[in-house]
Amino acid sequence: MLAVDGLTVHFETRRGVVRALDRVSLQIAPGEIVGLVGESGSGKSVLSYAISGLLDAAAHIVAGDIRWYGTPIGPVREQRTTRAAVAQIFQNPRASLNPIRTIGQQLADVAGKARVADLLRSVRLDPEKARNYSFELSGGQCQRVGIALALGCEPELLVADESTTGLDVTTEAAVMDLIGDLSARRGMATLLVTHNLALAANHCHRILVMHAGQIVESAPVAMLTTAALHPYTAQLIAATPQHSASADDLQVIPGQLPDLAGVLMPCRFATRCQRHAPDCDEAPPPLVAMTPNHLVACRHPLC
Amino acid sequence: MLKVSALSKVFDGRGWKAQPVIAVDGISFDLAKGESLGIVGESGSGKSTLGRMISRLIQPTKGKILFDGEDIAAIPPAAFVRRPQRGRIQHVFQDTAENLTPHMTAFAAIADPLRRLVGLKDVTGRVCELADSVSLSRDLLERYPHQLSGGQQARVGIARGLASEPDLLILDEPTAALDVSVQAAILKLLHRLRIDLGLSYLLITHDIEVVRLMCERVIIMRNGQLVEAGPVRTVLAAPQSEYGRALMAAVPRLETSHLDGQIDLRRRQSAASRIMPGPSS
Repeated sequence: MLAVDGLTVHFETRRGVVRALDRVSLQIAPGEIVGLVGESGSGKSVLSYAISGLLDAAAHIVAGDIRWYGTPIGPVREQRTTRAAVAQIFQNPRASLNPIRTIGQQLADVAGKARVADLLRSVRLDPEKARNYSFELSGGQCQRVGIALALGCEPELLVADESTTGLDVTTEAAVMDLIGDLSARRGMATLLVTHNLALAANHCHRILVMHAGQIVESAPVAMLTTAALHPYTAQLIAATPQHSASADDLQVIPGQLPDLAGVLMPCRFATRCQRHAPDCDEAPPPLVAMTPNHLVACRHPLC
Repeated sequence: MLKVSALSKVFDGRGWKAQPVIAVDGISFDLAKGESLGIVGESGSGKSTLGRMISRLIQPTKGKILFDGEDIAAIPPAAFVRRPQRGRIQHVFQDTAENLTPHMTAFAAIADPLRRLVGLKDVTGRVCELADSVSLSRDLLERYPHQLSGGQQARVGIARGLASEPDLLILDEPTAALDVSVQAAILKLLHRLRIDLGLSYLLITHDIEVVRLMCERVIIMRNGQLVEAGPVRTVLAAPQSEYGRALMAAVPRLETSHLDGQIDLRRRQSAASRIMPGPSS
Protein backbone atom coordinates (compact mmCIF):
# COMPACT_ATOMS: atom_id res chain seq x y z
CA MET A 1 0.00 0.00 0.00
CA LEU A 2 2.64 2.47 1.09
CA ALA A 3 6.19 2.02 -0.10
CA VAL A 4 9.05 4.35 0.70
CA ASP A 5 12.11 3.63 -1.38
CA GLY A 6 15.57 5.02 -0.71
CA LEU A 7 14.22 8.29 0.65
CA THR A 8 16.99 10.80 1.37
CA VAL A 9 15.94 14.17 2.77
CA HIS A 10 18.18 17.16 3.46
CA PHE A 11 17.26 20.43 5.14
CA GLU A 12 18.96 23.64 4.08
CA THR A 13 19.66 25.64 7.21
CA ARG A 14 21.90 28.52 8.15
CA ARG A 15 24.22 26.05 9.89
CA GLY A 16 24.58 24.05 6.70
CA VAL A 17 22.88 21.05 5.17
CA VAL A 18 21.23 18.77 7.75
CA ARG A 19 21.09 15.24 6.37
CA ALA A 20 17.92 14.22 8.20
CA LEU A 21 17.04 11.01 6.33
CA ASP A 22 19.44 8.69 4.55
CA ARG A 23 18.26 5.96 2.14
CA VAL A 24 15.14 5.12 4.12
CA SER A 25 13.06 2.26 2.71
CA LEU A 26 9.94 0.73 4.19
CA GLN A 27 6.65 -0.82 3.19
CA ILE A 28 3.38 -0.95 5.03
CA ALA A 29 0.58 -3.32 4.06
CA PRO A 30 -3.14 -2.89 4.85
CA GLY A 31 -3.90 -4.02 8.39
CA GLU A 32 -0.28 -3.93 9.41
CA ILE A 33 1.00 -2.04 12.45
CA VAL A 34 4.61 -1.00 12.04
CA GLY A 35 6.58 0.53 14.88
CA LEU A 36 9.30 3.12 14.29
CA VAL A 37 11.59 3.51 17.30
CA GLY A 38 14.71 5.51 18.06
CA GLU A 39 15.99 8.35 20.21
CA SER A 40 14.81 11.96 19.84
CA GLY A 41 16.51 13.52 16.86
CA SER A 42 16.86 10.24 14.97
CA GLY A 43 14.56 11.43 12.17
CA LYS A 44 11.39 9.57 13.14
CA SER A 45 9.20 12.64 12.92
CA VAL A 46 10.72 13.83 9.63
CA LEU A 47 9.88 10.45 8.11
CA SER A 48 6.34 10.54 9.49
CA TYR A 49 5.83 14.07 8.13
CA ALA A 50 7.14 13.02 4.71
CA ILE A 51 4.62 10.16 4.62
CA SER A 52 1.75 12.40 5.78
CA GLY A 53 2.72 15.04 3.21
CA LEU A 54 3.55 17.67 5.79
CA LEU A 55 7.24 18.25 5.12
CA ASP A 56 8.52 21.76 5.50
CA ALA A 57 9.40 23.86 2.44
CA ALA A 58 13.07 23.84 3.53
CA ALA A 59 13.16 20.07 3.04
CA HIS A 60 14.90 18.89 -0.08
CA ILE A 61 14.32 15.38 -1.38
CA VAL A 62 17.70 14.32 -2.73
CA ALA A 63 16.82 10.79 -3.74
CA GLY A 64 14.13 8.19 -3.47
CA ASP A 65 10.34 8.38 -3.55
CA ILE A 66 7.16 7.60 -1.65
CA ARG A 67 4.54 5.49 -3.46
CA TRP A 68 0.89 5.02 -2.59
CA TYR A 69 -0.41 1.85 -4.30
CA GLY A 70 2.40 2.24 -6.83
CA THR A 71 1.78 5.89 -7.68
CA PRO A 72 4.49 8.32 -6.55
CA ILE A 73 3.25 10.95 -4.10
CA GLY A 74 5.12 14.04 -3.01
CA PRO A 75 6.09 15.06 0.50
CA VAL A 76 3.77 18.10 0.36
CA ARG A 77 0.08 17.28 0.64
CA GLU A 78 -1.14 20.24 -1.42
CA GLN A 79 0.98 19.11 -4.38
CA ARG A 80 -0.16 15.51 -4.31
CA THR A 81 -2.21 14.51 -7.33
CA THR A 82 -3.14 11.11 -5.94
CA ARG A 83 -5.31 11.29 -2.84
CA ALA A 84 -3.62 9.27 -0.13
CA ALA A 85 -5.98 8.58 2.78
CA VAL A 86 -3.39 9.28 5.47
CA ALA A 87 -4.26 10.76 8.86
CA GLN A 88 -1.72 11.86 11.41
CA ILE A 89 -1.95 12.08 15.17
CA PHE A 90 0.36 14.85 16.30
CA GLN A 91 2.86 14.98 19.12
CA ASN A 92 1.61 18.18 20.70
CA PRO A 93 -2.16 17.74 20.96
CA ARG A 94 -3.05 21.14 22.39
CA ALA A 95 -1.25 23.01 19.62
CA SER A 96 -2.93 20.97 16.90
CA LEU A 97 -6.48 21.76 18.03
CA ASN A 98 -8.33 24.94 17.12
CA PRO A 99 -8.68 26.97 20.34
CA ILE A 100 -11.73 29.00 19.26
CA ARG A 101 -13.97 26.12 18.18
CA THR A 102 -15.43 23.44 20.45
CA ILE A 103 -14.18 19.86 20.36
CA GLY A 104 -17.57 18.77 18.97
CA GLN A 105 -17.42 21.24 16.06
CA GLN A 106 -13.95 20.07 15.12
CA LEU A 107 -14.93 16.41 15.27
CA ALA A 108 -18.08 17.12 13.24
CA ASP A 109 -15.87 18.64 10.50
CA VAL A 110 -14.17 15.33 9.84
CA ALA A 111 -16.82 12.78 10.83
CA GLY A 112 -20.22 14.48 10.77
CA LYS A 113 -22.33 15.49 13.77
CA ALA A 114 -23.88 12.07 14.26
CA ARG A 115 -20.60 10.32 15.07
CA VAL A 116 -19.16 12.87 17.52
CA ALA A 117 -20.42 11.14 20.68
CA ASP A 118 -19.29 7.72 19.46
CA LEU A 119 -15.83 8.99 18.61
CA LEU A 120 -15.42 10.59 22.03
CA ARG A 121 -16.56 7.41 23.73
CA SER A 122 -14.13 5.34 21.66
CA VAL A 123 -11.21 7.27 23.18
CA ARG A 124 -12.79 7.03 26.64
CA LEU A 125 -13.92 10.65 26.85
CA ASP A 126 -17.29 11.80 28.16
CA PRO A 127 -19.48 12.82 25.15
CA GLU A 128 -20.37 15.94 27.19
CA LYS A 129 -16.84 17.14 26.42
CA ALA A 130 -18.01 17.96 22.88
CA ARG A 131 -19.13 21.33 24.25
CA ASN A 132 -15.70 22.16 25.66
CA TYR A 133 -12.84 24.07 24.08
CA SER A 134 -9.32 22.62 23.92
CA PHE A 135 -8.03 24.93 26.68
CA GLU A 136 -10.63 23.51 29.08
CA LEU A 137 -9.22 19.98 28.73
CA SER A 138 -6.13 18.41 30.25
CA GLY A 139 -3.16 17.43 28.08
CA GLY A 140 -4.19 13.78 28.09
CA GLN A 141 -7.75 14.67 27.12
CA CYS A 142 -6.52 16.87 24.24
CA GLN A 143 -4.37 14.00 23.06
CA ARG A 144 -7.41 11.72 22.99
CA VAL A 145 -9.35 14.34 21.01
CA GLY A 146 -6.46 14.38 18.52
CA ILE A 147 -6.71 10.61 18.22
CA ALA A 148 -10.50 10.79 17.77
CA LEU A 149 -10.01 13.41 15.03
CA ALA A 150 -7.53 11.23 13.16
CA LEU A 151 -9.65 8.09 13.46
CA GLY A 152 -12.79 10.04 12.55
CA CYS A 153 -11.62 10.43 8.94
CA GLU A 154 -11.39 6.63 8.66
CA PRO A 155 -7.92 6.73 7.16
CA GLU A 156 -6.31 3.86 5.29
CA LEU A 157 -2.98 4.72 6.87
CA LEU A 158 -2.67 6.20 10.33
CA VAL A 159 0.59 7.90 11.27
CA ALA A 160 0.72 8.07 15.06
CA ASP A 161 3.66 10.23 16.12
CA GLU A 162 4.28 9.71 19.87
CA SER A 163 0.51 9.71 20.13
CA THR A 164 0.23 8.08 23.55
CA THR A 165 3.34 9.52 25.19
CA GLY A 166 1.58 11.70 27.76
CA LEU A 167 -1.21 9.24 28.53
CA ASP A 168 -1.34 6.91 31.49
CA VAL A 169 -1.07 3.20 30.83
CA THR A 170 -4.76 2.33 31.05
CA THR A 171 -5.79 4.98 28.51
CA GLU A 172 -2.77 4.10 26.39
CA ALA A 173 -3.88 0.46 26.32
CA ALA A 174 -7.43 1.50 25.40
CA VAL A 175 -6.20 3.71 22.54
CA MET A 176 -3.85 1.02 21.24
CA ASP A 177 -6.64 -1.57 21.39
CA LEU A 178 -8.81 0.81 19.38
CA ILE A 179 -6.07 1.19 16.76
CA GLY A 180 -5.51 -2.59 16.73
CA ASP A 181 -9.24 -3.16 16.33
CA LEU A 182 -9.48 -0.72 13.40
CA SER A 183 -6.55 -2.35 11.64
CA ALA A 184 -8.00 -5.82 12.09
CA ARG A 185 -11.56 -4.86 11.14
CA ARG A 186 -11.07 -2.28 8.38
CA GLY A 187 -7.54 -3.07 7.26
CA MET A 188 -6.22 0.27 8.45
CA ALA A 189 -2.43 0.32 8.39
CA THR A 190 -0.55 2.11 11.16
CA LEU A 191 2.90 3.60 11.49
CA LEU A 192 3.47 3.92 15.23
CA VAL A 193 6.29 6.37 15.91
CA THR A 194 7.49 6.05 19.49
CA HIS A 195 10.53 5.94 21.70
CA ASN A 196 8.81 3.39 23.94
CA LEU A 197 10.17 0.07 22.72
CA ALA A 198 7.92 -1.92 25.06
CA LEU A 199 4.82 -0.23 23.66
CA ALA A 200 5.91 -0.99 20.10
CA ALA A 201 6.73 -4.58 21.08
CA ASN A 202 3.24 -5.04 22.47
CA HIS A 203 1.19 -3.62 19.66
CA CYS A 204 3.15 -3.85 16.42
CA HIS A 205 3.78 -6.63 13.95
CA ARG A 206 7.10 -5.30 12.84
CA ILE A 207 9.55 -2.77 14.27
CA LEU A 208 11.93 -0.48 12.42
CA VAL A 209 14.81 0.93 14.43
CA MET A 210 16.09 4.31 13.36
CA HIS A 211 19.38 5.94 14.28
CA ALA A 212 20.55 9.34 13.03
CA GLY A 213 18.31 9.28 9.95
CA GLN A 214 19.08 5.70 8.91
CA ILE A 215 17.00 2.58 9.39
CA VAL A 216 19.45 0.23 11.08
CA GLU A 217 17.21 -2.79 11.70
CA SER A 218 13.82 -4.10 10.64
CA ALA A 219 12.31 -7.27 12.05
CA PRO A 220 9.11 -8.88 13.32
CA VAL A 221 8.58 -8.03 17.00
CA ALA A 222 9.46 -11.42 18.44
CA MET A 223 12.76 -11.54 16.53
CA LEU A 224 13.74 -8.01 17.41
CA THR A 225 13.15 -8.37 21.14
CA THR A 226 14.79 -11.77 21.47
CA ALA A 227 17.51 -11.71 18.80
CA ALA A 228 18.43 -8.14 17.91
CA LEU A 229 21.21 -7.98 15.33
CA HIS A 230 22.23 -4.34 15.36
CA PRO A 231 24.33 -3.16 18.34
CA TYR A 232 22.16 -0.03 18.61
CA THR A 233 18.97 -2.09 18.95
CA ALA A 234 20.59 -4.20 21.65
CA GLN A 235 21.63 -1.06 23.54
CA LEU A 236 18.18 0.45 23.16
CA ILE A 237 16.64 -2.70 24.66
CA ALA A 238 19.19 -2.73 27.50
CA ALA A 239 18.27 0.87 28.35
CA THR A 240 14.56 0.14 28.90
CA PRO A 241 13.42 -0.26 32.52
CA GLN A 242 11.40 -3.34 31.49
CA HIS A 243 14.59 -5.14 30.59
CA SER A 244 16.42 -4.47 33.84
CA ALA A 245 16.18 -6.24 37.18
CA SER A 246 17.46 -3.26 39.17
CA ALA A 247 18.48 0.35 38.63
CA ASP A 248 22.13 -0.75 38.57
CA ASP A 249 21.35 -3.00 35.62
CA LEU A 250 20.17 -0.14 33.43
CA GLN A 251 22.53 0.38 30.52
CA VAL A 252 23.13 3.88 29.23
CA ILE A 253 23.82 4.18 25.49
CA PRO A 254 27.28 5.75 25.27
CA GLY A 255 27.83 8.93 23.29
CA GLN A 256 25.28 11.07 21.52
CA LEU A 257 23.63 11.18 18.11
CA PRO A 258 26.10 12.64 15.59
CA ASP A 259 25.51 16.19 14.37
CA LEU A 260 23.62 15.64 11.12
CA ALA A 261 24.96 18.95 9.75
CA GLY A 262 28.57 18.00 10.44
CA VAL A 263 30.96 15.40 9.08
CA LEU A 264 29.29 11.99 9.18
CA MET A 265 30.93 8.58 9.29
CA PRO A 266 29.77 6.14 6.58
CA CYS A 267 28.02 4.20 9.35
CA ARG A 268 26.43 6.90 11.47
CA PHE A 269 26.57 4.70 14.56
CA ALA A 270 30.36 4.19 14.27
CA THR A 271 31.34 6.71 16.98
CA ARG A 272 29.06 5.05 19.58
CA CYS A 273 29.66 1.45 18.58
CA GLN A 274 31.68 -1.00 20.67
CA ARG A 275 32.01 -3.39 17.74
CA HIS A 276 33.48 -0.75 15.46
CA ALA A 277 36.15 -2.15 13.09
CA PRO A 278 38.28 -0.56 10.33
CA ASP A 279 36.08 -1.89 7.52
CA CYS A 280 33.08 0.02 9.00
CA ASP A 281 34.59 3.27 7.71
CA GLU A 282 34.83 2.15 4.07
CA ALA A 283 31.25 2.58 2.84
CA PRO A 284 27.79 3.02 4.34
CA PRO A 285 26.50 -0.41 5.43
CA PRO A 286 23.57 -1.53 3.24
CA LEU A 287 20.36 -2.87 4.80
CA VAL A 288 20.70 -6.60 4.13
CA ALA A 289 18.36 -9.48 4.92
CA MET A 290 19.91 -11.93 7.38
CA THR A 291 16.74 -14.01 7.25
CA PRO A 292 13.86 -13.19 4.86
CA ASN A 293 12.13 -11.00 7.46
CA HIS A 294 15.04 -9.68 9.43
CA LEU A 295 17.06 -6.85 7.92
CA VAL A 296 20.05 -5.14 9.43
CA ALA A 297 22.47 -2.40 8.34
CA CYS A 298 25.68 -3.50 10.04
CA ARG A 299 28.92 -5.11 8.91
CA HIS A 300 29.45 -6.82 12.24
CA PRO A 301 25.99 -7.77 13.47
CA LEU A 302 25.39 -9.54 16.80
CA CYS A 303 24.60 -13.27 16.91
CA MET B 1 10.57 10.11 59.39
CA LEU B 2 7.44 11.10 57.43
CA LYS B 3 3.98 10.06 58.55
CA VAL B 4 0.95 11.26 56.61
CA SER B 5 -2.47 10.62 58.07
CA ALA B 6 -5.91 11.16 56.53
CA LEU B 7 -4.58 13.90 54.24
CA SER B 8 -7.22 15.49 52.00
CA LYS B 9 -7.42 18.33 49.53
CA VAL B 10 -10.64 19.80 48.22
CA PHE B 11 -10.37 22.44 45.52
CA ASP B 12 -13.18 24.94 45.07
CA GLY B 13 -14.79 24.52 41.69
CA ARG B 14 -14.63 27.24 39.07
CA GLY B 15 -17.29 28.68 36.80
CA TRP B 16 -21.02 29.24 37.25
CA LYS B 17 -21.88 25.64 38.12
CA ALA B 18 -18.97 25.40 40.55
CA GLN B 19 -18.61 22.07 42.29
CA PRO B 20 -15.81 21.31 44.73
CA VAL B 21 -13.21 18.87 43.40
CA ILE B 22 -11.93 16.29 45.87
CA ALA B 23 -8.37 15.85 44.62
CA VAL B 24 -6.94 13.83 47.51
CA ASP B 25 -9.29 11.95 49.80
CA GLY B 26 -7.96 10.77 53.17
CA ILE B 27 -4.54 9.34 52.24
CA SER B 28 -2.32 7.83 54.97
CA PHE B 29 1.16 6.36 54.67
CA ASP B 30 4.55 6.54 56.29
CA LEU B 31 8.08 6.72 54.94
CA ALA B 32 11.24 5.78 56.82
CA LYS B 33 14.64 7.41 56.44
CA GLY B 34 16.46 6.09 53.36
CA GLU B 35 13.30 4.48 52.01
CA SER B 36 11.80 5.03 48.60
CA LEU B 37 8.05 5.03 48.11
CA GLY B 38 6.40 5.08 44.70
CA ILE B 39 3.03 6.71 44.09
CA VAL B 40 1.36 5.52 40.89
CA GLY B 41 -1.99 6.27 39.35
CA GLU B 42 -3.50 7.66 36.17
CA SER B 43 -3.50 11.38 35.39
CA GLY B 44 -6.01 13.15 37.61
CA SER B 45 -5.68 10.60 40.40
CA GLY B 46 -4.33 13.26 42.77
CA LYS B 47 -0.78 11.97 43.05
CA SER B 48 0.87 15.30 42.15
CA THR B 49 -1.44 17.18 44.54
CA LEU B 50 -0.39 14.78 47.30
CA GLY B 51 3.29 15.44 46.59
CA ARG B 52 2.76 19.18 46.50
CA MET B 53 0.95 19.12 49.85
CA ILE B 54 3.90 17.36 51.45
CA SER B 55 6.36 19.90 50.06
CA ARG B 56 3.87 22.55 51.32
CA LEU B 57 3.25 24.10 47.92
CA ILE B 58 -0.45 23.41 48.37
CA GLN B 59 -2.32 23.94 51.63
CA PRO B 60 -4.04 20.69 52.75
CA THR B 61 -7.74 20.86 53.57
CA LYS B 62 -7.60 18.21 56.30
CA GLY B 63 -5.15 15.78 57.80
CA LYS B 64 -1.66 15.68 59.26
CA ILE B 65 1.84 15.57 57.80
CA LEU B 66 4.18 14.51 60.60
CA PHE B 67 7.81 15.15 59.67
CA ASP B 68 10.12 13.91 62.43
CA GLY B 69 7.16 14.10 64.80
CA GLU B 70 6.11 17.67 64.01
CA ASP B 71 2.88 18.34 62.14
CA ILE B 72 4.06 20.55 59.28
CA ALA B 73 0.56 20.74 57.80
CA ALA B 74 -0.36 23.02 60.72
CA ILE B 75 2.38 25.53 59.87
CA PRO B 76 1.02 28.41 57.72
CA PRO B 77 2.76 28.60 54.29
CA ALA B 78 4.23 32.04 55.03
CA ALA B 79 5.88 30.77 58.22
CA PHE B 80 7.00 27.45 56.69
CA VAL B 81 9.53 29.26 54.47
CA ARG B 82 11.59 30.15 57.53
CA ARG B 83 11.32 26.76 59.25
CA PRO B 84 14.27 24.34 59.21
CA GLN B 85 12.03 21.71 57.56
CA ARG B 86 11.81 23.91 54.45
CA GLY B 87 15.28 22.88 53.32
CA ARG B 88 14.92 19.27 54.39
CA ILE B 89 12.03 18.55 52.04
CA GLN B 90 12.74 19.36 48.39
CA HIS B 91 10.60 19.03 45.31
CA VAL B 92 11.97 18.11 41.87
CA PHE B 93 9.40 19.19 39.31
CA GLN B 94 7.79 17.30 36.50
CA ASP B 95 8.74 19.27 33.43
CA THR B 96 12.20 20.77 33.87
CA ALA B 97 11.97 22.74 30.64
CA GLU B 98 9.07 24.70 32.10
CA ASN B 99 10.16 24.76 35.71
CA LEU B 100 13.65 26.19 35.39
CA THR B 101 13.51 29.97 35.29
CA PRO B 102 14.40 30.90 31.69
CA HIS B 103 16.50 33.94 32.59
CA MET B 104 18.60 32.10 35.20
CA THR B 105 21.70 30.20 34.13
CA ALA B 106 22.24 26.67 35.44
CA PHE B 107 24.72 28.16 37.91
CA ALA B 108 22.17 30.69 39.21
CA ALA B 109 19.46 28.02 39.44
CA ILE B 110 21.64 25.82 41.64
CA ALA B 111 23.06 28.76 43.64
CA ASP B 112 19.59 30.14 44.45
CA PRO B 113 18.60 27.58 47.14
CA LEU B 114 22.16 27.70 48.54
CA ARG B 115 21.77 31.42 49.22
CA ARG B 116 18.13 31.33 50.34
CA LEU B 117 17.94 28.11 52.35
CA VAL B 118 21.51 27.40 53.42
CA GLY B 119 22.61 31.02 53.76
CA LEU B 120 25.92 30.55 51.96
CA LYS B 121 27.67 33.72 50.77
CA ASP B 122 30.33 32.19 48.53
CA VAL B 123 28.48 29.54 46.57
CA THR B 124 30.87 28.80 43.68
CA GLY B 125 32.62 25.80 45.23
CA ARG B 126 29.38 24.18 46.40
CA VAL B 127 27.66 24.73 43.01
CA CYS B 128 30.56 22.97 41.28
CA GLU B 129 30.36 20.09 43.78
CA LEU B 130 26.64 19.73 43.16
CA ALA B 131 27.16 19.83 39.40
CA ASP B 132 29.76 17.06 39.76
CA SER B 133 27.43 14.96 41.93
CA VAL B 134 24.77 14.95 39.18
CA SER B 135 27.42 14.46 36.44
CA LEU B 136 26.73 17.84 34.87
CA SER B 137 29.79 19.22 33.11
CA ARG B 138 31.01 22.46 34.75
CA ASP B 139 31.26 24.05 31.29
CA LEU B 140 27.47 23.94 31.08
CA LEU B 141 26.88 25.99 34.24
CA GLU B 142 26.89 29.30 32.36
CA ARG B 143 24.16 28.17 30.00
CA TYR B 144 20.48 29.10 30.11
CA PRO B 145 17.83 26.34 30.24
CA HIS B 146 17.01 26.61 26.52
CA GLN B 147 20.68 25.94 25.69
CA LEU B 148 20.60 22.62 27.59
CA SER B 149 19.27 19.25 26.45
CA GLY B 150 16.39 17.56 28.29
CA GLY B 151 18.72 15.31 30.25
CA GLN B 152 20.95 18.23 31.23
CA GLN B 153 17.91 20.22 32.37
CA ALA B 154 16.83 17.27 34.51
CA ARG B 155 20.29 17.19 36.10
CA VAL B 156 20.09 20.91 36.92
CA GLY B 157 16.68 20.33 38.53
CA ILE B 158 18.06 17.48 40.66
CA ALA B 159 21.19 19.46 41.65
CA ARG B 160 18.92 22.32 42.71
CA GLY B 161 16.86 19.91 44.79
CA LEU B 162 19.98 18.52 46.47
CA ALA B 163 21.47 21.96 47.25
CA SER B 164 19.97 22.31 50.73
CA GLU B 165 21.04 18.76 51.69
CA PRO B 166 17.47 17.52 52.09
CA ASP B 167 16.35 14.29 53.79
CA LEU B 168 13.34 13.84 51.55
CA LEU B 169 13.17 14.40 47.79
CA ILE B 170 9.75 14.52 46.19
CA LEU B 171 10.31 13.48 42.57
CA ASP B 172 7.31 14.30 40.39
CA GLU B 173 7.62 12.36 37.11
CA PRO B 174 11.41 12.86 36.96
CA THR B 175 11.88 11.08 33.63
CA ALA B 176 8.50 11.33 31.88
CA ALA B 177 9.76 13.80 29.28
CA LEU B 178 13.04 12.02 28.57
CA ASP B 179 14.32 9.55 25.98
CA VAL B 180 14.95 5.92 26.98
CA SER B 181 18.72 6.20 27.14
CA VAL B 182 18.61 9.56 28.96
CA GLN B 183 15.97 8.12 31.28
CA ALA B 184 18.31 5.22 32.08
CA ALA B 185 21.09 7.68 32.96
CA ILE B 186 18.87 9.79 35.22
CA LEU B 187 17.38 6.76 36.99
CA LYS B 188 20.87 5.40 37.67
CA LEU B 189 21.91 8.80 38.99
CA LEU B 190 18.90 9.04 41.32
CA HIS B 191 19.49 5.49 42.57
CA ARG B 192 23.17 6.20 43.32
CA LEU B 193 22.39 9.52 45.04
CA ARG B 194 19.86 7.85 47.32
CA ILE B 195 22.40 5.28 48.48
CA ASP B 196 25.31 7.73 48.75
CA LEU B 197 23.38 10.44 50.59
CA GLY B 198 20.88 8.28 52.48
CA LEU B 199 17.92 10.15 50.98
CA SER B 200 14.26 9.22 51.15
CA TYR B 201 12.31 9.42 47.91
CA LEU B 202 8.66 9.97 47.23
CA LEU B 203 8.54 9.04 43.54
CA ILE B 204 5.41 10.13 41.72
CA THR B 205 5.05 8.52 38.32
CA HIS B 206 2.68 6.73 36.03
CA ASP B 207 5.44 4.39 34.87
CA ILE B 208 5.22 1.22 36.93
CA GLU B 209 8.51 -0.09 35.56
CA VAL B 210 10.29 2.94 37.01
CA VAL B 211 8.72 2.20 40.40
CA ARG B 212 9.88 -1.42 40.18
CA LEU B 213 13.49 -0.27 39.72
CA MET B 214 13.54 2.63 42.14
CA CYS B 215 11.21 1.89 45.06
CA GLU B 216 10.74 -0.56 47.91
CA ARG B 217 7.07 0.17 48.51
CA VAL B 218 4.30 1.49 46.32
CA ILE B 219 0.90 3.16 46.69
CA ILE B 220 -1.70 2.99 43.94
CA MET B 221 -4.08 5.96 43.83
CA ARG B 222 -7.30 6.45 41.98
CA ASN B 223 -9.71 9.40 42.14
CA GLY B 224 -7.80 10.76 45.12
CA GLN B 225 -8.12 7.57 47.14
CA LEU B 226 -5.64 4.91 48.06
CA VAL B 227 -6.65 1.66 46.37
CA GLU B 228 -3.63 -0.46 47.19
CA ALA B 229 -0.37 -0.27 49.12
CA GLY B 230 2.43 -2.68 49.82
CA PRO B 231 5.93 -3.85 48.92
CA VAL B 232 6.69 -3.28 45.22
CA ARG B 233 7.30 -6.94 44.43
CA THR B 234 4.03 -8.09 45.99
CA VAL B 235 1.86 -5.37 44.46
CA LEU B 236 3.39 -5.72 40.99
CA ALA B 237 3.29 -9.50 40.93
CA ALA B 238 -0.11 -10.04 42.54
CA PRO B 239 -2.20 -6.87 42.88
CA GLN B 240 -5.11 -7.38 45.26
CA SER B 241 -7.48 -4.64 44.09
CA GLU B 242 -9.41 -4.79 40.84
CA TYR B 243 -7.97 -1.47 39.69
CA GLY B 244 -4.45 -2.62 40.56
CA ARG B 245 -4.92 -5.68 38.36
CA ALA B 246 -6.25 -3.56 35.47
CA LEU B 247 -3.28 -1.21 35.83
CA MET B 248 -0.72 -4.04 35.79
CA ALA B 249 -2.42 -5.66 32.79
CA ALA B 250 -2.18 -2.38 30.85
CA VAL B 251 1.59 -2.01 31.27
CA PRO B 252 3.40 -2.71 28.00
CA ARG B 253 5.90 -5.55 28.46
CA LEU B 254 9.01 -5.99 26.39
CA GLU B 255 8.95 -9.80 26.32
CA THR B 256 5.65 -11.18 25.12
CA SER B 257 6.26 -14.35 27.04
CA HIS B 258 2.82 -14.81 28.55
CA LEU B 259 0.88 -17.31 26.49
CA ASP B 260 -2.08 -15.37 25.11
CA GLY B 261 0.23 -12.56 24.05
CA GLN B 262 2.21 -14.95 21.93
CA ILE B 263 -0.83 -16.48 20.32
CA ASP B 264 -2.20 -13.06 19.58
CA LEU B 265 1.09 -11.96 18.08
CA ARG B 266 1.39 -15.05 15.92
CA ARG B 267 -2.13 -14.61 14.62
CA ARG B 268 -1.45 -10.99 13.77
CA GLN B 269 1.81 -11.84 12.09
CA SER B 270 0.36 -14.58 9.99
CA ALA B 271 -2.44 -12.25 8.90
CA ALA B 272 0.11 -9.63 7.93
CA SER B 273 2.43 -12.05 6.17
CA ARG B 274 -0.41 -13.35 4.02
CA ILE B 275 -0.94 -9.85 2.71
CA MET B 276 2.63 -8.98 1.94
CA PRO B 277 5.84 -10.94 1.45
CA GLY B 278 7.85 -9.06 4.08
CA PRO B 279 9.64 -5.81 4.61
CA SER B 280 11.43 -4.00 1.85
CA SER B 281 15.00 -4.74 0.94
